[in-house]
Amino acid sequence: MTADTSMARTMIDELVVIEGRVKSINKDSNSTTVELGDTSSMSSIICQIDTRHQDDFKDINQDQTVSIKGKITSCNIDTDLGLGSTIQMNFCSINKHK
Amino acid sequence: MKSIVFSILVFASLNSYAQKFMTKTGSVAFSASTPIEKIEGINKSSACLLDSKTGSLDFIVSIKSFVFEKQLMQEHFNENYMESDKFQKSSFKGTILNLSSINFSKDGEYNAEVAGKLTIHGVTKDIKSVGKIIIKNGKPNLKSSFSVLLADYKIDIPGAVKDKISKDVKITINCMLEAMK
Repeated sequence: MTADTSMARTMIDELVVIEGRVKSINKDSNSTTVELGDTSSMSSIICQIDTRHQDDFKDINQDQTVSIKGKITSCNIDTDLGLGSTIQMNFCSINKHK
Repeated sequence: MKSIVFSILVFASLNSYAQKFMTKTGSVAFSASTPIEKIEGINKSSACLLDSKTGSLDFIVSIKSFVFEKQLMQEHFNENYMESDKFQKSSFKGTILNLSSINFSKDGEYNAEVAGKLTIHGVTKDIKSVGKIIIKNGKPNLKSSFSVLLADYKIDIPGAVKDKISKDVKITINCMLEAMK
């Protein structure tokens, strides 16, 4: 994950497609946030879902594998807090063109 | 034999509630709205770590991860005001002052007084704020709302838009934490 994160850091503001297992999904009335990653690791990819595409995630649940496209906004290698490496993405939607 | 049973009981009690709680999907929102313009952004990928034994509290917020209703407003926020290529993150590093009055192993709503260092736009200031910690099923939900002055963090507002942007920005925190495994 560390090498991948270093590479991803150079990709901030780039649009990417990423496939992974849903570690957690938080849904409320006006937003959805999906965390991709392995439950055995602290490292993960956080995807803030574009509000226009929220409905596409209503049937997505934990442990499912999904393909998501979005814009990379941050890459953080945490060495202080023990939160693992984190890549953040915005404007995310389901990638329907696999 | 007694010592083995005692050790098991001590171990069980130590693990009856977690020491550290965290999230990477915390909500940090701000409003710099005026009667002329609605200016609100929200970041739902904020990291938060709480140590219930020491009371230490950390937040890391990526500036580029704030989302706005209007795309142009988001660009102005990143490029003109927060300079997010240069100052990529905001952070808070602090402590819960009244830790002894919060029982993390008992469901309930507790008032929390927090003090620490808030870094925005590369400027670090001491702040003190109050909030709530709501414990439900052993999971803490942190809620707080406080204001900061843009001038304190060297965020300049051009004269042409000074009536549209509040100098006093309200920040609202809402983080549902999970036990750290």
